[in-house]
Amino acid sequence: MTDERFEQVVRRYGDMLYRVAYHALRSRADAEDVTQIVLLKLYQQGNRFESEAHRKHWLLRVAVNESRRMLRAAWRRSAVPLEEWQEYPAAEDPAKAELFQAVMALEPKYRLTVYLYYYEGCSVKEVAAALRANPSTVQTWLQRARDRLRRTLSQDQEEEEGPSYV
Amino acid sequence: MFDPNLYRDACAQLRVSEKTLQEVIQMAEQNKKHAARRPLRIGLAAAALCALTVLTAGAVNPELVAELMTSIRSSAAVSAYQEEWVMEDGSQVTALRYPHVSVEERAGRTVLTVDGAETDITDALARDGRYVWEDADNGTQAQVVVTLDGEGAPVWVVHVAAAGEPLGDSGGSLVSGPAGGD
Repeated sequence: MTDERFEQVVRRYGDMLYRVAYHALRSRADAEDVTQIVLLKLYQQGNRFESEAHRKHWLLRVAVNESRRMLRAAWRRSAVPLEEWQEYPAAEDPAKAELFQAVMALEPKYRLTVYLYYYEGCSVKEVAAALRANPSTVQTWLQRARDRLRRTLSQDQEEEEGPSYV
Repeated sequence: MFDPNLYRDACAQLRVSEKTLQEVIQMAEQNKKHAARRPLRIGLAAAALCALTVLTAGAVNPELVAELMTSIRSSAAVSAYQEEWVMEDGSQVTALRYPHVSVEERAGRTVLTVDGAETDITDALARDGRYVWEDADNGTQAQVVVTLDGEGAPVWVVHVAAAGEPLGDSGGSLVSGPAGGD
């Protein structure tokens, strides 16, 4: 792969890789590390991809794997999480910030499923391939994630409105 | 209620920094330019990593580590065990990370822990007198060899080698203390 081509690919997929890793790790610094690891792995792959879709799905799968590897790392498990996701920059739009925080409060497998399905527009089968899970399992994760988000968000709304009997 | 459009808007604001992208582009370019690394650099990297690893045990030359750390301009992780550093003078250094290793006796069993993953190696040690743990990530190799000393206590050696380098050659090695701890 030429340097020019690599730079194009970096700019095309950098944000996607960062978002995947951020959903898995909830840390800006770790997500940036994973983004770099995956892009360097891509560079070493050269031009072996049959299509852009092939490249994209390879990148998604490797980003998920590298994020999981980092999650398992001993030093990370013993570190105190900074909970950066609670400082999400969309604070100017409370509804957006609240929704994003609700997603980030889910378990990693649900967060990744929601991201890949709703943001990247992957099919259930594609999400399953990226997460190395059965499509039926992904379908279940998606349903559970939606249920939990519905509960969390409606609870927040009730708290904002206050008890109706007062 | 979950609103997919609102969620997509929120996600769109998550952007990787330009600095991160520039670093990775620079790393790729320099990898190409420095395909054949000078052994000195790899030796330096191994020395730095030895120093870093031993630093946690409190027995190291802190000036050496401080000097190295302050002269890194940028770094990019190549794998779980390898980072590429660009130093202030433009030179490139390959830095290797040792996995965190411990060997413990628990209720009569010998348990090897590598980066948090535990393996019961009791039977392998009894049968073969040694146990070898190996991992490879993006070409970087890590190996832990556990053997028994003269008194039957487990001792271990960790080897790490950069992509394309044979284990135990130009990479780094770390040996456990006499008690077999880390």
